[in-house]
Amino acid sequence: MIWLRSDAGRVDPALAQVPLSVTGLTAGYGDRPVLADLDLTLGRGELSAVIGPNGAGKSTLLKSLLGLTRPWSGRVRFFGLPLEQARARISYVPQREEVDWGYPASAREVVEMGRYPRAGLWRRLDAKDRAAVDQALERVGLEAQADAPIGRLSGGQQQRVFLARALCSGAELFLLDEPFAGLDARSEAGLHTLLAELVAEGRSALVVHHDLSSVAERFQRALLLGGGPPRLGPVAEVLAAEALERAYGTRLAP
Amino acid sequence: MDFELFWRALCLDAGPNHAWVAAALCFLGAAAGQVGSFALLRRRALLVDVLGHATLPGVAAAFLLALALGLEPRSLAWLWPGGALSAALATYAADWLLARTRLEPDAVLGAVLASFFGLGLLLLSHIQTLPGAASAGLDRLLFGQAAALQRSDAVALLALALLAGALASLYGRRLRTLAFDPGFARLAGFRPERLDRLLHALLGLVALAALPAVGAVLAVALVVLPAATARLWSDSARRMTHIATGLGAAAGYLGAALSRAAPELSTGPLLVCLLGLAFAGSLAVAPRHGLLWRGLRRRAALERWRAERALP
Amino acid sequence: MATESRPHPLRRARWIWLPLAAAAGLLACGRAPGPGSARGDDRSAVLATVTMLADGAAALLGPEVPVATLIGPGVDPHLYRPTRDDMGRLLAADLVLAVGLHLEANLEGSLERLSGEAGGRSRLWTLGAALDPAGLLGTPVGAEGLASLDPHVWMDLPLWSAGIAALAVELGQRRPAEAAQIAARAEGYRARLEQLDGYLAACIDSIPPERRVLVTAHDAFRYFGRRYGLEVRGLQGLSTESEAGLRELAELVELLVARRIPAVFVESSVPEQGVRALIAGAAERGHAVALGGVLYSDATGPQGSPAGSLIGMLASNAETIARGLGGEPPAGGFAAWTARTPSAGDAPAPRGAGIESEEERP
Repeated sequence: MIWLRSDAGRVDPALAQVPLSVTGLTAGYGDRPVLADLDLTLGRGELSAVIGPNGAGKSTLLKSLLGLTRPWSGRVRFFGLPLEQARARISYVPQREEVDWGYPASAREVVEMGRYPRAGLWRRLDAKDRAAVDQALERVGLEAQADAPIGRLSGGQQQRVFLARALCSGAELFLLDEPFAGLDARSEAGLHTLLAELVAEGRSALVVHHDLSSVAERFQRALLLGGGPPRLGPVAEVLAAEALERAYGTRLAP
Repeated sequence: MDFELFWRALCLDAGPNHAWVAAALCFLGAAAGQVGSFALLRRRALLVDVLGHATLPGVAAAFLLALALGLEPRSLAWLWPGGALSAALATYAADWLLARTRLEPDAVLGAVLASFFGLGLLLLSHIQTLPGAASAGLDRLLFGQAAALQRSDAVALLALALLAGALASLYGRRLRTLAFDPGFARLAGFRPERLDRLLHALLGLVALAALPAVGAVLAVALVVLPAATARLWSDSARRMTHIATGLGAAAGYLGAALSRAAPELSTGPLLVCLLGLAFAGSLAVAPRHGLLWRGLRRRAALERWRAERALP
Repeated sequence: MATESRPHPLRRARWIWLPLAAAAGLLACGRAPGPGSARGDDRSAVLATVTMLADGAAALLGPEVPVATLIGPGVDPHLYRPTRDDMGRLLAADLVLAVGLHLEANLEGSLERLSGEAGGRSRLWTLGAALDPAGLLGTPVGAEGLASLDPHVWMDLPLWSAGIAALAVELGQRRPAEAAQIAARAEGYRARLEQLDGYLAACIDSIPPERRVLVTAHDAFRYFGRRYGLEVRGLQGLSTESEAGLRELAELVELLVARRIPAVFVESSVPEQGVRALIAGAAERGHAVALGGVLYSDATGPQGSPAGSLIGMLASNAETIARGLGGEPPAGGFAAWTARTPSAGDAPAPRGAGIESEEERP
């Protein structure tokens, strides 16, 4: 078995401006590999999608990047730094069904969680933190719902709460897992607009996307996982029929 | 029920034993309520049941070992560590099963609880047959004897409450974050495994501390009920913790006073009944989640809805 | 690609749970030799539930008839739950003797199975049923009747004597060949108990009158108190299954302080925490209460020890109480007392009924 190489801690100054740089990532479950020798980079101001059929490794990729599972080998750098040193600059938005929406918290309280890491163990949240939270809520358009329990928010609003959390934590790289799933057309459009704005301000986002039909209009670049070797590039290329067929195993209209 | 005596008891003017019991149960209730909130948020409340019941085989084994070595078998000096050890073993077994098998958490916790408790009962029945063993004290661990708590117990429970409070205020934010969003917590560097171990250790401490007061069978009530009741009154995890702590403390204090004034009511079970009543009452009348208000709100909302659509 | 499934986790952990399961199984099968059961011979002629009753039966039947005991010395009969082995012994015995009156609370179901027996005779004989209810103590009347009666009848020697006399009649009927000897032994035992009665009275009489208050862990001594002039208060009620209430405990502390009672007593088969709380509470109020000693309430002491028989346990109790409360038992103990005050009957002290006869008990 190939284990993680011992350069896990090395800093790569050349990559300081590159939000995400993945080389040779191999990961799987038990004895079954799901990703093999994957290379991926994400630059500033980029909004990229990860697409592929179920089981292709989309979630595995995200989880490996975030340290939620251990990859078998490969090197992952965030702004040239390993995960341990770059935590403050990354934010993760989980799938909606993984979250316990019955949890007693208001939108504001969830967004506040974004300020906890920088506050450390001892410091209480101060005026600066509260201001950051308010600003973030405003930016995503939730100031009116700030004190509502999260269970009462609509799907789109719930995603915005997570984006606000990411914002007030100062993250520059967003990793989102199927954020548009289950949203109606209007919410989806609104969320995409917000995301695009945030990215245009200099951040980057890697989005696991579930819906082939909307990839082209929403994203510039995409990573296709599944069947054959992973294909990374402009959306049009990646969506070429034969690549899709191999990944999804059927003939699909382009 | 002697009301004058009840009032005096509330003012701690009803004898030294009552004062110790009131203080002890108040501190125990506070600690249990606080730790229980985190357990509830993290969905680990049943673990306390396991911990409480799993102390039995350890205590019985320690008893037998002490007897075999010629030591005084009923001394708490080894009964407590024995109980703590078997409770820790049970937690380890449960964690292992949860991590390595696909079994549902309920099934795992139930299985561990039942097997440890069964083993404990088996050992107890064996002890019962030994001559001159005077083993009846071990039965008390199942149900506790709150009325017999003394100053030293109250002091120990105060220490526990302070410890729980300190740890909660230090790690509370992280525990709450972990309970809501484990992925975010891990990414933020909060180390979920360590936080969970801290929570389990606190739960174990509370379960052990509750043994002399309410016994193994009812310890889970002290941990779960205040937290569950608090949930009905608050939509904020932080406030819920505070309410649960206060509720546990108040129930302990009140239970001691009631037990002092009313004839022939065992203190431990009375405390649990009080908590149960508080929960049932809250279920009925709590403003946001209570059934009463929900019914009224629904009716009002339905009328508004009909009016807007001009339906009859 | 083909992936081999890993062995099931339970299989991998077999080094842990297999030994555990084996140990549990061994424990369940094996069992320490219970009191009174000879190795390899579980069938008894006579099986008594508690040691006090076994003591009396042995006195009546003499050394050749093995009398076994179910609930051993130092074990609480109120809480005792029968094991599988106990059931076997109960069913295999020719005759089972029980005190009744809900003393052996958890055995009642099992004992009932023995009473409705074919072949004419019930295999169960209950001492409580043979007593005149007028002599029994109980909490005043509910509709429950028998349920509230105090079962600690061995503490009242005339009452117990009457019960043993009834047992003698029963045994005589079942063993007609030995009827005469049984009757003779019964008379000797009765005489011995009468001597003991006098000794116990002397012990308690030595206590200054204002100190004659006996505070113990549970209400086992009411008959004793009634007979010898002691005010008796227990922390728990008639059965140790109840948990002491705070009010009862506080009231007892009040009593200890107000009447300046010098000592309280623990029991051999009941946990001590409650009594210790009493002492601590009184100490807090400025009145030092000593732990007067261990009393034998629901069971005799260990076999072979001085308190290992009915006479031994009652004598020990009286001496402990007397000394604890400021009195002094007659010099030389019960042995000297019997020498000084010869009994009415001429029959020699029957074997098995005295303090020094442990070697005859099977």
